[in-house]
Formats: sequence, C-alpha cells, structure tokens
Amino acid sequence: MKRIVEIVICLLLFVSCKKQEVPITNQIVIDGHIDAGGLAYVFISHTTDYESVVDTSNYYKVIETKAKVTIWTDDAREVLILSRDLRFFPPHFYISNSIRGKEGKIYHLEVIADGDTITAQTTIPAKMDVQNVRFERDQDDSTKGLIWLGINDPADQTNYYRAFTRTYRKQDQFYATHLSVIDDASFNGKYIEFPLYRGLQTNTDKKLDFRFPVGDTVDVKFCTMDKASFEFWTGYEREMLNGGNPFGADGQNLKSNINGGIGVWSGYGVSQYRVIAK
Amino acid sequence: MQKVLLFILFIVFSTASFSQTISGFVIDSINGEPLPGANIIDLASKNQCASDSKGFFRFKVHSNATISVSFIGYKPFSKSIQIKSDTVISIGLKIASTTLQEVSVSGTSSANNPQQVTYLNSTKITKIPSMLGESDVVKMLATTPGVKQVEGQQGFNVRGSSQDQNLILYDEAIIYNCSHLLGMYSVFNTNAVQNVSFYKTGIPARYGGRLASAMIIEGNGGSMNHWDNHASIGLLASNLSFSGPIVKDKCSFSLSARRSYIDKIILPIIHHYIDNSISDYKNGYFFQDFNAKLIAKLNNNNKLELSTYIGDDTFMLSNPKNELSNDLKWGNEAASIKWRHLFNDKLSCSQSLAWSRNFLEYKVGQYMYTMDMKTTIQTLRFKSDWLLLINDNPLRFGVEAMKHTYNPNNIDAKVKEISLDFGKSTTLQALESAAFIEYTVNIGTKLSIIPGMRYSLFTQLGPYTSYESNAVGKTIDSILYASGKPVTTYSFPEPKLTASYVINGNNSVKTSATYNVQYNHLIPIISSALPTDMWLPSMKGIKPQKAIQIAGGYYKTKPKYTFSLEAYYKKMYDVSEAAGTMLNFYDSKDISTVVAQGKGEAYGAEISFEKIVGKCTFGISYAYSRSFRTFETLNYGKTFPTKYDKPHDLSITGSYQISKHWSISSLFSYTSGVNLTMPVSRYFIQNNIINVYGSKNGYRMPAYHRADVAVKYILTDKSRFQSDLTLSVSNIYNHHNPYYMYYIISGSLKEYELKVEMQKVYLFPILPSLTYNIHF
Repeated sequence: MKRIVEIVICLLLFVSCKKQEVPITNQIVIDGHIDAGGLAYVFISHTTDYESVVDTSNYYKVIETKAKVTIWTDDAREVLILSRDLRFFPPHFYISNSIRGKEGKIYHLEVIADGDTITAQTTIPAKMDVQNVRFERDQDDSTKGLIWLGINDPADQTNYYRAFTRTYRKQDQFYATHLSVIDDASFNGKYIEFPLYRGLQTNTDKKLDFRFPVGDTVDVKFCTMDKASFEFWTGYEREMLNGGNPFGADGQNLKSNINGGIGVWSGYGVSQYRVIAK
Repeated sequence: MQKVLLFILFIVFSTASFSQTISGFVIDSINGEPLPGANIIDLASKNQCASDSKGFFRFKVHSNATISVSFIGYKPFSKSIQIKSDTVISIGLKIASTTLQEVSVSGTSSANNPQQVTYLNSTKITKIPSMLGESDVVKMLATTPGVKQVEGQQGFNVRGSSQDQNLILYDEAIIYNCSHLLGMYSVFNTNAVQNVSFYKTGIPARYGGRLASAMIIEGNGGSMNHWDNHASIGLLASNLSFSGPIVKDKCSFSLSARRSYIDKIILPIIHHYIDNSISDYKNGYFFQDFNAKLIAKLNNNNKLELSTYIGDDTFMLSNPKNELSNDLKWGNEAASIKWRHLFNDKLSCSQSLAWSRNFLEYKVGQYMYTMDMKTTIQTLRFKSDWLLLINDNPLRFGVEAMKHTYNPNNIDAKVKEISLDFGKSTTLQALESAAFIEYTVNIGTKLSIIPGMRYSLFTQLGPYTSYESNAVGKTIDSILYASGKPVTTYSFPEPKLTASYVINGNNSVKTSATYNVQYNHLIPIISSALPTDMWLPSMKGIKPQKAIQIAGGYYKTKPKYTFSLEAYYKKMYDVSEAAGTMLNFYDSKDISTVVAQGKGEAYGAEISFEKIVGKCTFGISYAYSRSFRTFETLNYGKTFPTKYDKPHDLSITGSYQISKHWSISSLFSYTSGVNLTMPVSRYFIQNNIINVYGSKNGYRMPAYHRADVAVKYILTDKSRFQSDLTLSVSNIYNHHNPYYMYYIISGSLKEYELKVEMQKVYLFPILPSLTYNIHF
C-alpha cells in the first residue's frame, strides 16, 4: 500500500429539533364514575390544541363549569351540582346529592354543554370479594414491598377488574395502581393472586416508586366494572406507558363509551380493605 | 485499438443443421464472470437479444453475421462471422476504463425480451455518489423509478407495497431484512455481490411468495483464474475482501468483511462537542457483516457453490433525562449450497438448499419498566430449477419447498425486578411449497409472450393450540394440534403473463399481468422507523396476502440512451397491518388477533431517461404513485394512505469523467414526506394527559430532498494495483429532513402549568466522508 490518508472532517449533528404546528380539535371530555355505595362524580373538560399551554390564564376555557349534568336509573333521577375540591385536577366537577350507586343497576348520564348533548350509560357489576390481602417485602430492598390480592374468579362470565390504593395520612384520594386494569382471560374460573404496584399520581410525575414503603397503611379499593369501562381503561394505561415514547406510541385513540364526546362513564362494584405494610 | 477487445474462448458445439442459431455467453474478459443484460445484435439480419442473468444469449442470425455486442461500461465488440451451423461462442468484453468495485445500474432487458428486469452488477457504469463512501445495491435500485427508500427506514418500497412484499434472495437464501443502520446501507456488501436481477413487474413464475418484487442476488464467488482483492478505509466503515482461485480453473473463493465504527470515532466526538447543547438524546450504533463463497467446477457439466452470510446491527437510543432507553439488535444469518448441472446444450438444472434466519432483539426501558422482546424467523429452502430449450425457446420449470419456523413474541417485562407475566412465548411452524412452469413463445419476430403458472401450497403445522370463542369473546373451547400435524392449509394457482411487441429495432411495448400470493406477514409492532417487526405465517385467522398487478410500458433503447414510460395498477387483498400494540399481546392467547387484514390499492406512472455513454452520463427518473389501504378495523373503516404513500419521487444522477484521474458524480433526490399518525389534541383524565390522535397516517411530513456529490481521484492505475481516494458529501446543502416527530411534556397539572412541545428528529445532516480504496 502506498499510503493511507485519513482526514476527519466532522460536522455531524445527528439529532436536532424544531417546532411544528398541528391542527386543533375541540371535543367535550367526560371523566365520570359512580361507585356502589358512593356518589356520582363527573369531571367535564375540553380537548385542547396539542401544543397549548395549560395554566391558570386559560383554565376556564379548558374546564367546563356551565354544563347541565343529569343522571338517572330505573327509580331515580337527579341533576348534579357543580362542586370544587382542590384535591383533584381539575378541581371543578359535578356531584350527585342523593343518588348513590347500587350493584346491578344501569346509570344513564346526560350532559348539556355549549349546546351539545352528550350521553352515556354504565352498569355497576356485583363486587368481587378478595380472599386474601397481604403485604410482601421486596427481596432486594426489605424497606419496600408489594401488596398481593387473591381472588376466586367466577367461571360463568368474563370479569373486569380495576384496583386503586390510598396511603393513609399520605394521600388524600385513591389512585389507580400501575397496570390497574385486568380481565380474567388468563385465569377464568380459578383462584389467582396478583400484585398491586403503587400507581403514579400523574404521568408528568416521574419520581414515584412502584413499591409501597414498609410502615405505610394502605387502603385498597378493588373494583369490578363492565366491558366498555374495561376497554377504555386498558387503552388509557397503554397510553400512559407509550404516549411519551417516540418509539412506542401506536397512534390509537381510546375506545370511549361516551356518545357525542370522548372519555368514560364508569360504574364500579367496590370491595375495600386496609393493609399495613410490615 | 489499444487493447484486445475480444477473444472467442471456445467453440463448444456445432451440429449439421440449416437453421443458423448463435448462442453463447457474454463474459468479462478479465475475470470470466457473466455479464447479464448485454445487448447482442446481428447487424446483417438486425436480429438482436440480451444476455440473461447468467450472461447467456441465443438467437437466430444471418449466415454472414456481423455480431456486435455492447454492454455499458465495457468496450463494444464487433466481428463478422460466417455461420454454417448452430454455433455456441463465448464473448469476452474488456472494461472500458479502470474501475473499482461499485454498483451501478448496468442495463435493462432488451426490446424483444418481454421480461422487464433490471440488472445490476458490481462493475461501475453510471456512478452515483456513495453514502459515507460505500456504494450500495439498494441505494442504486432506489434511483430507478418505482423503487423508494425512506431515510431511516428498513428495506425499500416497490410501487406502493410494504417492504416485506419484496422477495430478496442471496444465493438462494431468503433475506428477511435487507437493511443496516437505519437504511443507510443494505446488508449486501458490494464486494460480495456478483450480480443482481430485479423484477418489479411481471415477476417470473419461478420466484414467488411475495407480492411486489423479486431481487435475486448472486454472491461473488471469485474468479477461477486471477486474484481480485479490495480494501477500503473510510471514516465510518471499512471493508476488506479477498477472492481468487484456489485451484486454477477448478475452484475459487471469495471472503468479504465490513464493519462500521461510527460508535468508536464519531459518536464520542459528537457527544463531547455537540450533544449537551443540542439534544438530550444519546445514541450509538454499528453494524458488521461477513460473506464467504466457494465455487468448485467439478467438470464441464457440474458446478458446486457454497455460500454464507452473517451480519448484524446494534442500535441504542436513550434519554437519561427522561429515563428512557431503547436498545435494538437485529441481523441475518444465511448459508446455502447449490449444484448446477448441464445435461446437454438443451437441458440444464440447478438444485439448491439454503437456510436463513432473521432475528430482532428489542429492549425498551422507561422509568422503572424494562421490556425485553425477541422475535425470529428461520427458513430452510430447497429449490429445483430446470431449463429446457425447445426450438430455441426456453421452458423453465421446477419445484420449491420451504420449512419456516417463527418465534414472533418472546417477551420478558419487568417493573424494577418484578417480572410481569406475558405468557409463554409462541413458536409457529409452516411448510410452503410450489411448482412452477414458464415458457417463452415467439410469434414471428416481433411478438414474444411468456405464459407462466405457479401453484403454491402453504400449511401451518402443529404444535399449536387454537381457541374457539363465543359471541362475547369468551374462550369456550381449545383444540390442540400435535407436532407436525397440519392446522390450516391454503393453496392458490398464480397465473402470470408477460408480453412484448417490438415496434422496430429500438422501440418496444411490454405488458404484464400477474397474480401473486404471499404467505408470510411482517407485522410492525410499533409505529417506529426501526425494524421492530415480527414475521407471522398465514394461519388460522390470518389469510394469505394476494395481489393482482397489471403493468405496461413503452421502451426505447438507443446505443447512447434509454427511455421508458411505464404505468401500473395493483389491487391487493388481505394485506396485513398490526391490529394492536405490543402491550396487547399478553391479552391474547391467540397471536393471530394481533393482525388486521384489509384491502390495498396502488397505482402510478413512471418515466425515466438515461444517457449511458460518454464522458458525461446522467439519468432522470420521476414516478407519480399512490398507495392506500382499507381495513374494517382500522381508522374507523375509512381508507387511509400507507406510511410510504409518497406521490412524487424524483431522482437525478449524473457523472463526469474530468480527466484520466479525476471524476465527479452526483445524485439529487426529492420525494414527498412519509405519513404519520400524530396527536391532534389532548385532554386530561384522572390527572393524566391523553392524546387524541388524528386519522391514520393523516399527517404528511415535509418533503424529503437531498443532494450528494462525490469526487474521485485515481492515485494509481496499474494492472496489478489500483488505488483511489474518494471524497463524498451526503446532503451537501445540509437540509434537515425530519425522520420522526413526537411530543415532550413539561410542567405539572398539579402546579397548573403544563407545556407540550413537538420535537422533530433529524437523522443525517451534511455528512462528508473520505474513503481510500485499493484494489490488487
């Protein structure tokens, strides 16, 4: 070989970024639920331009506070009233006063807002008793652990479950566990034990551990729901996992049970337990 | 003439017959390798033909024939021959100028050949600047109309079809993924490629199992009589190959190896100087591949070929700030043995056995989750291919049998150290077989017709458990199929017809109508540009894909230029797309539920002009094409464009030989942007942000355009040693072609302040590269 010439000229900018505009849509979003034995809660908001900033300056454009919200079942009907509770986001929501959820009943929802009428219905299925609730310490880190639930799944139907937890004196409301939604496709008619992972409070919150610290007192809310609710919440959890990952997003919208809008109206059959992490 | 242009190597055969037919081979006079697509004309009778992929030709001539042979990049040959009987000759052509191994479009089928085939070989003719100093077959193909390559994407798209609809054979082994490094290079090291035949329309009956195209690659087996070694050292990759005789005129070999080292040299520099200020993302990648081939000429009638290929890629993308990481490793392994036998001058055959495997390992981590996914496909393929000449017309027939093994989804997911149950991994097996026959009929001197028929059979084999569900989707029964037992069988006749009519010596019209069936499906798991795809067989619940294509065109071939105008319409049935996402897999015991099937439609027109002779050569090609899908279960049943539906596609290539030492080449390409499904708005549910996605593939990214220029300086040009230095600059005007777009969220709902920003990821800015090549 005569000679080998190597000249390194390198002006490489492998990854760089720039902004781009996308079109806007405006739909009404319902986030409503009614627990067996509990009041109905309906949060109403609007979809926003993808890149718009949400802060106190445009809060009332995003949150719907001028709607008429009615729920009814076979023997009762009620117009919900606007309430405010700073524990929640958004803090404004509509709440029932007299109607409380009952197992086996169908609950209709009607929202009139901005001249649009939005309807939905949900069923509260029979609750599922949990056979066994226990805390199990992590093998690597004994200061933390998971909560395990054991249930006897009935064989004669497809069951859809969702779990929430609230740490006593640390959290002021129930939060869905991580991967909170499950159906009995893989354990129909059998006794099954599965772990509960501590849920993130929001997907902009990135620091929370999925295990429960030893010493916490945890309230577990184990719910049953209908198929439409299951389909929405399954999609919701998929979106939580993948939505922010440029290589993971799948571009599928959540399957909603709201006619004329998007979101979900869920009825839950509820079993509640308290576990001390020790 | 300064050098000898021709030698008639041997006159093998002659019979006492009154019909004067001349047949033989056009070969490279130096290495004896066949030259496919060479134009052979008898100036006395004006009859002409083109050599096939083995360099073979056969046609009727005048008894006082003047045979003229031309082949782009070689010095033309012409000689008067008195022919008294059928004659077989070999014509050796001498390369026009000293060249090094570069891939180029070396020709298309001649006017009277109905098959519309593009031949490439490893000899330089039309130069295109090589990306980062490596010339590439797929890049070269992408400059022909109707073939599109999306930057950063695997494979290539032919006439509105997805990349899995291309049949790619490397020495008879099926290559399931032909791309390295975000599509920057194909897996085919140019030094390891002897020649390529590419069919985008009228795919012959002997090639099947894919809807869109067939790319048949013959590996370089080395010359039986001289050494041919090559080394190149570039900024980002190096290449080394040796080939030559083991036993002169009996046995030859070829070894080639390549590795990129972008991870060793360039990335540390980027990270040191640029990364922190530009992006939170860290990435890295490299690829490597190795080819080996051995050819043994047992005697004049028997030849044995052994070939192997191993190659893989590693890609990493992470954002430490968001605790996000993606790691991918993918690659191919292939090995084959082929025996060619010549019974007599009328009958020959080749028998081959090939094994290949494609794998992908994908690790994704986000916050506390890790997911490890593996998917593989492997195929054992046997093919028996026969060629019989009946009245000088070739009759080809044979059989093909394949055993496929699929491991579509091996998933291991964890949250911290806790494993999530994604069920057992699935292994699927299938047998694919086919019989084929095709015959060329010449009606008069102007019309040629090739009717062909392929009959294919596909059987999914056990072990397999099939689940029966009731109306509400509840599993009510399961059927267990034992190992080797047939689960489902599909079979289809696949008729084909191609025809050509020669208007006069240089002008012809060609048309084809084909019905193709594809039994293997590539399902994209996520909508990313990375090869995060899995192969699935046609099975219970997944039907084979079918396509009807009608195409026609006008072709003009002059000694100095070629022109073509083509149009096509393609209708596809049961084409597949992903029905859900990776995370849906654990819900479904039945893997067939991850596939959605629907209809497809593609149509377009292509025009190309090439000046192929002279110091200055150039080519212009433009294609207008559309590609749509309609699925009951996707996009609310509405028709949507495919991701690679890119209506406009323009490519201009040019090269100029400035002097004996200096040459320059350039490439400009412009295509419409790819389509993505993007969020159009968002909302909040239980403190969380949810995206509202627009219609499927409803957002078209800005148009893609880029110009590349390369300057080559020949340092040494001796018969035993040549060297050159090539400076190539990709994307010379540094256009930021977006590769992917996504959003990042900052702030918090609880704090009543939330921002979402769209991010565009650019892959390749201006990329200069210097390569030192030696050839000895």
